[in-house]
Amino acid sequence: MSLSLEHLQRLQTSPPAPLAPVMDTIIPKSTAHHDQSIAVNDVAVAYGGRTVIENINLSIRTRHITVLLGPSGCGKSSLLNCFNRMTDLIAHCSIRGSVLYRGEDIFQPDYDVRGLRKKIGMIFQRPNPFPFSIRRNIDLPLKEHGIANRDERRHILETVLQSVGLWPEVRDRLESPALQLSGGQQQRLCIARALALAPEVLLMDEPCSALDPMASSIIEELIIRLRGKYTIVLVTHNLFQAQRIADDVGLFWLREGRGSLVEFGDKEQIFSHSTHELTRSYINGICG
Amino acid sequence: MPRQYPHEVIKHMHTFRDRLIAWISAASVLLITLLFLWLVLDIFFKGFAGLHWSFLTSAPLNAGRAGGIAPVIVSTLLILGVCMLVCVPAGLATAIHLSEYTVRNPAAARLIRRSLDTLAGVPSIVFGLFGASVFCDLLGLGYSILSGGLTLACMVLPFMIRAGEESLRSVPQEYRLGASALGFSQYSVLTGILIPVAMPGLSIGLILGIGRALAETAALIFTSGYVLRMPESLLDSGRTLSVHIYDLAMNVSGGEANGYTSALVLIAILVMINTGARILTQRIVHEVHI
Repeated sequence: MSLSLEHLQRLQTSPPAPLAPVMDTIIPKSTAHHDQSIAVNDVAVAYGGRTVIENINLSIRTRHITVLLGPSGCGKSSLLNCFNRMTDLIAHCSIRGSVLYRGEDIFQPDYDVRGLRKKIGMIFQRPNPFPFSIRRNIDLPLKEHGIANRDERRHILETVLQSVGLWPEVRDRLESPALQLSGGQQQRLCIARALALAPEVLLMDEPCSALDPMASSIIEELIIRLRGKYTIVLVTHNLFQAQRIADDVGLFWLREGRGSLVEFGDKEQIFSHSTHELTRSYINGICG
Repeated sequence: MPRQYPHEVIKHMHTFRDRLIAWISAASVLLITLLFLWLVLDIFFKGFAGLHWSFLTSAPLNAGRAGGIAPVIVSTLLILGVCMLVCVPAGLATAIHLSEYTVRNPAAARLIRRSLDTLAGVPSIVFGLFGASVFCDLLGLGYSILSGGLTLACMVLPFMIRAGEESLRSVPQEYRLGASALGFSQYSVLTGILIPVAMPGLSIGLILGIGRALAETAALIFTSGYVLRMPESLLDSGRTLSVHIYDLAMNVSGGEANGYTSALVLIAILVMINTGARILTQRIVHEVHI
């Protein structure tokens, strides 16, 4: 089924209903319930009454890399912030629709948000290690989640620093300030910090865009290495990055000041067989 | 049509302006340093002669012309202690509320901030009258160290709250987001991240607050009185060093020499408390690397 640009424009001015069946057909066929990590149903996000994104329906496959792609300002990060309820911290932010994590609606009033954030880690655009020592950056979250045994923490510290490839670089200076590390190292430390809590999902909000090309490619390689172990949802406006690392891709676009999901599907479908005019234009560099 | 200056003239103008700014700022630094040095040296030379161990440990005689200042030092420390006991927890709690919990109600926060700024600018004599009517009369604490300490707390609180709030707000938002995304409770974000990171600013607020409290006279004359006896409880009247210095300078003829020595002691106490506060905060924040 194809959607012309003209058709899409009409859809956005008319009620959202017709869009839903279209979405159903383009969700990857392999997405049976058991390997679906996060399901997004008809989600809309508004800040103080101003809707920034709406009619979002998609499904994140377990232990795959899902890339949310699109130009800046079309609500990709707003959607990402819903998945671990970081939207709670934004004043006057309201969410409609439902986000299911392992089949449970995370926006239920008595949902365990701290437990959710332990299971769903987040990496930010700008590396944000705490201004403490490297060790304390990993120790603090572990202590927060009740790991009181020092040997156990030391073991986790080494394991996660190994898994982000930082161990050989910092093993001799674990007590030195994390902020003395280079940008790329800081970002890897942040990934290690998230991994320390043994999450199932990693949300990454443009994790490479504040880094130089070298550091950026190291992070990308790391993300590829993490595929199969974690469910990764990555926001980017970098088309090439999406092509390199994605399993599934959601293309977002801005229409009349609101972000919407144009197409969602596996990488093959989006990059090679898209019948969607806007997707094809974006991928071929004609727009965006 | 605007006049065009030749390149050389513009260059000259810029060099001149750059130099002027550098000169003016250097001159003001020099002036302020000289004034401060003059003040300290004046007190030092006029007060040092009277400074003996017995001056610190004996009671004043003849309205302070002779003898020492032991009860005055004790009263000063007690009043400061009461003031800080109230100010530090209440000030920190309010600062935390203003910086962390008013995001959804900025109008209320603005109102509180404006009130605090106004309160911080109210002359201390007004606080003295307020303290006299509320603590001394209404609550029946009389002229006492407790009344004086509480009045000082009212006076210093707005100032310390604002200083505390500013230092908490200056902690980058990304640390809050990072900690929250790791599933930290609000309490842990505060105690594990925000307070340690804001500690240098918080301690400056504390040190300046202590300085203000130690320097105060007007608010205390009405509330803790100026009895020279050694206080036996917090409900006794007591005289602080500042009040003592004021009294010796204004009301007691022939009291200048002891006044200068008392001033020297006051400065020494201030330096000691500030150094102590700095060492203490450095211990707390030694793991923070900014």
